[in-house]
Amino acid sequence: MRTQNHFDAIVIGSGMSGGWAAKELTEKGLKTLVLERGRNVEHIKDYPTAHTAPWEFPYAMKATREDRERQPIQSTVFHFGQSNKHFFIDDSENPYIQEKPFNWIRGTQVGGKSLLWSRHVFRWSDLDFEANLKEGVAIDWPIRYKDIEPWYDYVESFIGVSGENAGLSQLPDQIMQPPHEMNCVERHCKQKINAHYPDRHMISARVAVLTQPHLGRGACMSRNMCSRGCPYGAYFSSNSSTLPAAAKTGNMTLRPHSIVHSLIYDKETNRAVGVNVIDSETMETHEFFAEVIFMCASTLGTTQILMNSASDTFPDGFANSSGVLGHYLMDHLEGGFSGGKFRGFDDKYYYGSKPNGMYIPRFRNVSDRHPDFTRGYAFECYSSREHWGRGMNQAGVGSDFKDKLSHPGDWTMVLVGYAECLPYKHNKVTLDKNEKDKWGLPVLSINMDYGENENKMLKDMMKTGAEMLEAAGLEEIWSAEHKSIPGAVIHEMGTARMGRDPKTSVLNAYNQCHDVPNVFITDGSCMTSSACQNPSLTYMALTARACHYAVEELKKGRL
Amino acid sequence: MDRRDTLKSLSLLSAHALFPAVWSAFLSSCSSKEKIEGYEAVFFTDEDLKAAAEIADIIFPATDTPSASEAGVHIFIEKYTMACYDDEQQQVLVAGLRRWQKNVALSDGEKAKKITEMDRKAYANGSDADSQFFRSFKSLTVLGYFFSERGAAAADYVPVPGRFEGCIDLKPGQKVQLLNSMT
Repeated sequence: MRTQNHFDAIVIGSGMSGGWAAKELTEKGLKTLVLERGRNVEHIKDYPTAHTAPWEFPYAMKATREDRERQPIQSTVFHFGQSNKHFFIDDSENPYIQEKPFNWIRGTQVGGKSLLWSRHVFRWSDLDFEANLKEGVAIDWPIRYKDIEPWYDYVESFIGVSGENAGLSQLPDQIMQPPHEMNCVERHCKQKINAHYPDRHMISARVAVLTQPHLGRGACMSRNMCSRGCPYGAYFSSNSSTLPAAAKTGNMTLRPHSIVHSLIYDKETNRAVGVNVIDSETMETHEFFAEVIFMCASTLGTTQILMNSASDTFPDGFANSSGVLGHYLMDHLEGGFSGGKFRGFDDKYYYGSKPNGMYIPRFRNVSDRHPDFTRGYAFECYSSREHWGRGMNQAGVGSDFKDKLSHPGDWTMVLVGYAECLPYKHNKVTLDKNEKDKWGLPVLSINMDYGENENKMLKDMMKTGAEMLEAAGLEEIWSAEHKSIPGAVIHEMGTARMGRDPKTSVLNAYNQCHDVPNVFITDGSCMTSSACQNPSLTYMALTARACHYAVEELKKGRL
Repeated sequence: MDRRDTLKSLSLLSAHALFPAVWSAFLSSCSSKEKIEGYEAVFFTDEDLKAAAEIADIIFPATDTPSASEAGVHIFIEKYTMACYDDEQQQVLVAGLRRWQKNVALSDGEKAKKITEMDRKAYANGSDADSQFFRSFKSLTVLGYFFSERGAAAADYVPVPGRFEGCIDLKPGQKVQLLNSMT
């Protein structure tokens, strides 16, 4: 007999992936329970700072000592402050162990980090899906571009993407609205760089931000306040898009404050029949049951739950007969900054602030073979005129100085590299046997560092960034390593990877656990390699694809 | 309750308890002189606060736009130092303000000259105590000024641009745009 705790499907997590699982499963008619660890955040209503003027914040929006003590990890994010600190987890209540430095950034609320992301969305290509096989690194992806292409189409058509297509094999064209305009320095650099380096292209970055109204959401107002939550719904978040679509079906039950303790495994049927939940407000425990379970609790969140769901059958973690659960943790390496000033266009300016810059897609190891390293990296490029803030770092006092800061300064351009991180078995997470959090759950212990291949790319990024700026005619060019701490790019991936062989992977080609067929994992933990593109679009496409497959299998009685 | 008493009672509350919009509205209703005299320093001494206002006004004097202290920058610096700076940064800033107070007998011109010299040394990477102090103090002056409602008048404040135009002509004398994101 079905009770109120029985559903057709349970989705754990409501962020980028969970929102898509909720939308797809409910639209296909499944009564779906969406469990979210954090509080509820309703679109518009719960964006308290969306219209706040600068002077209405204390401390020039900066984090206080108290904020930094409460959120020592979260406050390292570049835009963390008074305007958005409520969308980051309280580190003091959510400890983890850093065997090596690792910044675990978490947005624990309905919508998750989809409220905070940088909104860059790039497709992967077969250059990425085939790399492990061709190079004999880790294991082969069980899918190719043709498998995911229709799902990229599907996701982009719903979320709304703006940007520039360039017909590049390594960065397939996408379904997009027109990009925000380039400024005059960007136009200039785009032309000069490509003229000097025919295989390098500077394009308007592709972002999940609308330049035209789309499915009831409004176009970008160019305020540059995305991380406060967008009251126009101009950028894609679960809150603005997938969760409202799921709610509209009448099939979704959204339960915030629900910390998933573990999956409930039934040995007889070899199925996860439900989940154990701790209500973070009442501390009461609850059991919820369903036919199919989607795990979308973020890469490390999902892995923590799987590890805490060990049983006689799976002593080393749920669905972990392969033993790879927790291993092959990746995050992109950020670094290799280059910058310079552009002399000229003094009589040109722009109006408003756009939510994207330019992007130089990967050009290393695309058609040739670099002698020092495998894979590649891409650059995000940002150009603007210096504003009042330059006065904090340069000499000058008095009325002339004040007047100078009241007017636009020099044109600058900065390139920031993002490198692919190879999957290494020794980069891993485990459950700590001794330390528990306030809900009695064993905490995660993280051990990750970048390897030689990433470090070699870092050196190359500094060199190629600077040489492109030089080719574009910039002056006062500088470059710096600024190597990121693992985790800090917030593209953590791996730890429950997809693969063809159940002996070496947790998931099959449809994100379905090899060991337990009614459990699907579609967040970043499923990734077999990291490419160098921002990964969220791929999580969303894989989620939609897995939901389609799961519902078909359910209908056939195979789950 | 007069304004001075109101400020006294407000200053007893923690900075977090102050509703910022009310606070800034209150500040903008006061003249700068009243603010220095009426605002009760919590973390600084009254003399520190006076010194902060004096230095900030040499960095950003009144022109066709308000001076630093008219924009409440000295009060911002006190609050910021108290809430955001770590112990060492606090020590550097307060010690610098105390040293400045020894210049009480100097003329305005001599004070301005001293600040100009401190600025030159500080931004030539000086490692002495005054250079450390001045880099810290000036960055807070600039930050606090452009983040204040009155200081924002020195820029072209555009809360909702509504559109992005990538390449437009800069008109002679056109001010730097200032969005709510402060970019």
